[in-house]
This record gives sequence, C-alpha cells and structure tokens, in this order.
Amino acid sequence: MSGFADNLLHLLWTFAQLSVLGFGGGKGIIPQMHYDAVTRYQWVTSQQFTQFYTIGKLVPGPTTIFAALVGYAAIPGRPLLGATVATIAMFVPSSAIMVAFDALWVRFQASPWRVIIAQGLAPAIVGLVWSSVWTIARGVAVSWVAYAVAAVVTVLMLRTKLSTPVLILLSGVVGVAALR
Amino acid sequence: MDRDCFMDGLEISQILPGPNILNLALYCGQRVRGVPGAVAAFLGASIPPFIIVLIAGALYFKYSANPFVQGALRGCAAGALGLTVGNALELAWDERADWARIVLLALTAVTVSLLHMPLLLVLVIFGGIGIVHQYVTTRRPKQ
Repeated sequence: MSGFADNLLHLLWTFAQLSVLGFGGGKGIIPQMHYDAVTRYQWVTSQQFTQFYTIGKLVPGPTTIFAALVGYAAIPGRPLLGATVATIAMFVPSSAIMVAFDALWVRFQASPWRVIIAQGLAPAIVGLVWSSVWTIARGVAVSWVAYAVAAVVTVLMLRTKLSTPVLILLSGVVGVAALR
Repeated sequence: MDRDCFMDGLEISQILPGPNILNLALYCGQRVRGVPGAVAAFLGASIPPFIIVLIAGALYFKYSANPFVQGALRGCAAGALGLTVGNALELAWDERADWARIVLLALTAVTVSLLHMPLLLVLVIFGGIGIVHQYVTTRRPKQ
C-alpha cells in the first residue's frame, strides 16, 4: 500500500515540476519527461512513451495531455486515478502561475524584459525540441520503413498544408501495411 | 475583448509555462469574468481532451497487442517523429540570423541528449545565457 502511495506522490511531483518548467508552450519538457517516466520510475517503455506522445499529438488540445496516459500506465491497479493525478499535476500549477501573473501583466507589458526573456529563452527551448527528436526517435521501430515515413512526413509538414492528425493517420495506414 | 487584448494574451501565453492554448483560454476567461472565468476556461479547455485521451488510453491497453494495431501505432509514431523533426527545423530556422543563438541551441540539444542534464539546470544555464545575450544585443544599438 505504501508503494501505491509513493508511486502516486512521485507521479504528482514529477508532473508538477514539468508543469512549472514548461516554458515555450511545454515544447521543451519531453526529454525530462522521458527520463522520469522511462528511465527513473519505469512507468512506461520508450516505445509506449513515443506512442503516447503520438496520441497526444493526434487528439485535439495540448499535446502534453499525454501525461494522462503515462499516469494511466503508472498506477496499474487504478489507471483512472493515475491519469487524473498526472493531468492535474501537469496542468494546474502552470495555470495557477498564468492566473496569478495577470495582476503583474499590466506592468510587465511595457517592460523591455518582456521581449528579452521571451527571446532569450528561445534558443534553449529550441535546443530542447531538438533533443525531443532524439527522445521520440528512441521509441520508433528500428526499420527503414519507419524512418522513410518520418522523412516524408517532415517534408509534407514543411511543404504542404496537411494537418497534424491527417499526417499521423496517413502514417498509421502505412504502418498497418508495412510495420506489423 | 478586442483584438489587441487577444494578441497580448497570446504573447503572455507563449512566455509563461504551460500549453499555449490552455494559457490563452485562461487569459480570456480571466479577462471576461475574473478568476471564476479562468476556472471555467480551465475546465472547458482540459476536460474534453482528458476524456478523449482516456478513451484512447483504454483502447490502447486493450488492443495494442493486436499486430494490426501495433503496425498502425508504429506508423503513427514514425509520423509523429517526422512532425517533431519538422517543428525543430522550423524553430531552428527562426534563429538563423544570429550564430550565437544557433551555437546555444546546439549546445543545449547535445547536453540534454547525451548528458541528460535536468530541465531546471538547462533553463537556468542555457536560458540564462540566452537572456544575458539578448539583454546585451538589445542594449548595444542604444549606446
């Protein structure tokens, strides 16, 4: 029973930290989330992590909602509890900061620090996104078909107006045919 | 709410932690109805995706052993990797004007990927260097 409570607390604490550190729309938290969920606590495998991230991209709303799926897998006896705790931990702390900041915003708006902080953080966030590529790639099937699909999707995303869900679902069709 | 107000909300949503869409919903909710409005916006923006993702999760754990489903998931995952690469390329392209930012970006990516530097440290060290660099380059023309 204490293992259960410990696990729940680890889940809460892990995602609450990620929530508070999720600058740049949460784009940069994927490598740390992978380290915590796969390497440190072993709630999910690398392959599951990548597939959950994929589901997060597929469903409407923020991608980081896939925290719910990590929580679902983390508490085997009570998946709904795990999913709920992970989601609350992922979204409530950052939301509280956003709401609390509203009062300061009027002063911050005219300050040069607004642009300096946003622009200054950008290289680190983009570097974290590049690291996410590596993180997500670790859970992708080791197969030339999978890498070809990824390459084609990259080109289609940059060169066409096809939406994210359409590109993911088309990749799924290729997967059914060639990655079973 | 006017257009400028919306644009301000978008900007602050992108600076502070948390998903942009959720933060923007909170901002709008708070502007219109104060804190209760923000709470309503939070519930409205987070409960529907939560329910959809739960259904997806239940189906995942029920059927992911099926070879056809496994094939579809592998294909979708490869597609998501491609999207992440595309996103990373777009974001890096935006930084191309300043080589110092590209170096900082590459250093961050390598350090995180190979040394697993904790996120907090990454933001303090590389984010800090970026902010100092931005401060210096912003001030220089005025002097």
